[in-house]
Amino acid sequence: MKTLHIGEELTYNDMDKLMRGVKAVATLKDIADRAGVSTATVSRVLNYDKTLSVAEVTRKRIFTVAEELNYKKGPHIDVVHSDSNLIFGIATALTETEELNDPYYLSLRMSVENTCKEMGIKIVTLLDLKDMPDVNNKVFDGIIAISRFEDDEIKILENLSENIIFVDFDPLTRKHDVIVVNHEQAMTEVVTFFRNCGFGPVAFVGGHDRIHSSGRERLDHRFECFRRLQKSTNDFREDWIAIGEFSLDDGYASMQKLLELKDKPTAVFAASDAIALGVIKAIKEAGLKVGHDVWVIGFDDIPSAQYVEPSLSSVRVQTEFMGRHAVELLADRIQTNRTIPLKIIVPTELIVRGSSPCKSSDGGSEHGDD
Amino acid sequence: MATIRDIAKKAGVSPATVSRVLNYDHTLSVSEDTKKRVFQTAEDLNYIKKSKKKPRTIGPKTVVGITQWYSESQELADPYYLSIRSGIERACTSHQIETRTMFRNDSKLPIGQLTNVDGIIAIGKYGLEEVEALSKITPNIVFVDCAPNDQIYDAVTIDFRVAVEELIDYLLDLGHRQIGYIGGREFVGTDKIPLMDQREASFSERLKGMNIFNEAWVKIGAYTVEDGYKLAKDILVDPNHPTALFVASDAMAIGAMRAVYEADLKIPEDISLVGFDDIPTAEYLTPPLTTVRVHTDFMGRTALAILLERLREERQIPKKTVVPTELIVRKSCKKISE
Repeated sequence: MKTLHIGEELTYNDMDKLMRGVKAVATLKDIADRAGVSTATVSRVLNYDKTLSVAEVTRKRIFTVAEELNYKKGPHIDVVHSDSNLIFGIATALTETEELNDPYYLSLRMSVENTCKEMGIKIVTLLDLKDMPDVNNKVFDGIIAISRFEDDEIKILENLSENIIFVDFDPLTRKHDVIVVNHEQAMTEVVTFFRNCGFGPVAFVGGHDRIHSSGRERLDHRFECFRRLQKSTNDFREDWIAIGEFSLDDGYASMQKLLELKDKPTAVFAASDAIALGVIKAIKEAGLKVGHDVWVIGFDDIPSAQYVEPSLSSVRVQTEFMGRHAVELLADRIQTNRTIPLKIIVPTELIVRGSSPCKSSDGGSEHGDD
Repeated sequence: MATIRDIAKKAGVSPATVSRVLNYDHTLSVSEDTKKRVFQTAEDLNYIKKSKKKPRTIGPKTVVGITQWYSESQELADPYYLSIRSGIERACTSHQIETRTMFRNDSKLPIGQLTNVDGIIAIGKYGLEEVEALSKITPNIVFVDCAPNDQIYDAVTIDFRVAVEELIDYLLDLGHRQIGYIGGREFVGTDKIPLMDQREASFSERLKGMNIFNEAWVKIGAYTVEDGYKLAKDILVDPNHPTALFVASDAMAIGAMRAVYEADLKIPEDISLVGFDDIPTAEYLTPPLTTVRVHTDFMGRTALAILLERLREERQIPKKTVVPTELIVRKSCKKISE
């Protein structure tokens, strides 16, 4: 059986094998016969082909039929399809453009995909969750959900699979596996670094966590940690906090505003490298020197961080490790029938470069002497 | 040449299973028959393992050291850590892994006695010197119940904050606003450095945030039945005692229950009580104790799985694993009208 690649059009045969291999149900033809549509339509609907124009009623009927056939699977089918493999859905709340603008998530997804390929797990990318029909059709053995999701999106994922792992986001559902970055440790390292380099208050340019359907806005965990640490040394400055989107544009706009202040910040922590690049742009445009007049530390350590001028200090996140372990943990949950959810916390590492040119993290040169 | 996939197809299992079987992964639960079939198929197909990086064999020769930060008598008095230890030991037995267990002895942990182990699972809380001494024996250490350094060591812990939030929400829902706390203080290392107790911190933070915190109703001692009894007595001498008590361990809650009865009060009619840990006796108390279940046995098993994975993959990046808790509602709390 061939491996299915992202974005690749699934043929009827692929889908047929996939459905049989995965949940050991009837063939697409069975579903098509029963739903009174062509097998091609079944294939495209089950594959969430958005280019297909089909009535919502038909779409639902196909899913319902698929669900029914699934439900009645007998034990004998497992024997017939002994060559079956796992099939995972990969969901991301970002649009393709957003993902391309922030290589961090791309890198998480690549790691997830590569690991799935190594382990012979088939993958299907789930885009536009909200457009998915609302049926309780557990098509996937597992779902790997990358980035932040809203409550209603989580419900949709729950309908698609019993086994979900969230990567880089804790939905606080206490049902699903979670693999996240150790923000507490990361922020302690950043704040301590700035303090050891002689800085008092540090500016924070960050992004909002998605708004939950409850309407409650969640603070970015990095900000919570940052504020607590800065307050503990009386260095917290409300007017040096700028929260927008996790984007270069918002980083740029936020930093412009901070630089209009009479009392400009001399040290900035940016909650993502994308934001940091915007911050650097604003500093340069204001005629100031990054790493001299204003120090900057980003987060994620995207590949381009070392190639910008000056090179960007950043908190390295083990994206490859997180992606790989997400897949392994999900496979383990399925294979061992584990019901207790696990949360894995992965440490980070501060990579010091030209944008915060301190010799060492434990007390180096004073700020500004060069 | 045959690939893992070819074997998988022929043996009727997933490639992941083939890989794990061929690599002698003992954490994989698969029947003996399947294992044999995989090996047989591999042989039939003339499969030669690529040995770019030879994985370490985890098997009967693996020796796991277990350190228990409690002495044997302390362990008997508070079954929480006992349950974690037996979880690890049972998991080791089922994977045919030899264990060497070491207890605290006269306030000292005889770490020097642990020799020739492939890895260590350290249960409980440890001071800096102890962590260092352990790391000299082997770099492969998993801490259970504490995380001394997130950037170096694997750890399995529980999220006390979430657990405490959940139980306070429960008491608030029942109408309680006068809530007391009985807890313990733990000390680590030879210098007996007191540790911040996360249950206590989360409790105070939450109640202070709601302006219902009362210092006089917070009593701290040791995590023993005796101290549970004594501290509850201290709170109950005041006729204006709280309507609910959160007791930070079930062992202490048992002591507190006796103090409540000696004060001629009834649970839950006169005072509600919530424990923590869900030790086996909790459900047989009168009334059965509402408490927070910690999956101690599962924590032990998880710790072993993480250690074996580290040995097998020679993993360098540490993982901290948080195991959830569960509020178990029994009969020791009552709804009150305000």
